[in-house]
Amino acid sequence: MIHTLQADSIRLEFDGRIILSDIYITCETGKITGLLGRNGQGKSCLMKIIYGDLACEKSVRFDNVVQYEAFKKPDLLLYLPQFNFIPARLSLERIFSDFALDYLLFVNKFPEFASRRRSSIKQLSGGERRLVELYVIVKSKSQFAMLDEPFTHLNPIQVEKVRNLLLEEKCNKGLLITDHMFRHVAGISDHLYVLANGKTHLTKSEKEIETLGYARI
Amino acid sequence: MRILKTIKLIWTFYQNFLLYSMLITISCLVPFYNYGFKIFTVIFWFKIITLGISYYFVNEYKQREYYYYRNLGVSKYLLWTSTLTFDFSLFIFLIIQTYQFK
Repeated sequence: MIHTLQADSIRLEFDGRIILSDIYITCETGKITGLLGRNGQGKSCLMKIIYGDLACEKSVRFDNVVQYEAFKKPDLLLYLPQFNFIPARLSLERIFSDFALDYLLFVNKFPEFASRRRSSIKQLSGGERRLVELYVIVKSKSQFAMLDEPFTHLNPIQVEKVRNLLLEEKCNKGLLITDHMFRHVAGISDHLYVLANGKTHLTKSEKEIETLGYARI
Repeated sequence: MRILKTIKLIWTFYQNFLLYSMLITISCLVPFYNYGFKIFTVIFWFKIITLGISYYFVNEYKQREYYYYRNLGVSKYLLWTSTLTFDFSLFIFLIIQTYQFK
């Protein structure tokens, strides 16, 4: 069964400045939806609004059922924020146990973690830490996952592995991704939105990304 | 199983201010032992205010960690109501024990 996540009728303003005004974004299970936009356009705000973390006028629906506080339902939606969110003192063993994930499967994909099981997450490098955070969110049971800058701090080999992981995992959930490494995002996305001037634009070609002023192709 | 997991997560969160809070509680018990209920109002409000300070600092410096608990189904509200209730109940329990011991 295909599940849908839709967000629209969103209006966000800070100090009279309109950040988001004409938003329509839809995400389906089995698909990756990419969201691009220049700094300050409101990508992270949009994710926080969908997650229920940022209050404003909105309509966020899962299978046409309105959810104002999706963060209360991790079986529906998980969220990877753009910063480190796992308590620094927790060991990898504990983190994987909390998320009910098999550490050995993780090591099969990322052998460099074989001897790090008992390490606390603060002992890892920035890239390794991001990889663990990304993995637990992507692999945990949920209908949807939103990933805010998942490729940050990752080296090119890790980026390639993460791309494959996301493509693999999209069979199990719908993914909404935003990142400035737009070629990676565009390369794996089934649908690609560009957020510009407070509006979402569903793009059909790479040329449109340029037209909307996000990047030079 | 789910309840045990939730308790484990709440305990992890509580460790953010457990040591500080225990020190405050002990520092309240010592004058209570010496002066009894004459000083109870002062230590009661002292404990309440320091719990408020804990709330402020954890919220300020550990707010990113809320996403960890949320992604595991434990809300900020549950984290705070359970830890503050436990902490204050422990404080009252120890006050009663000190009074009886005296």
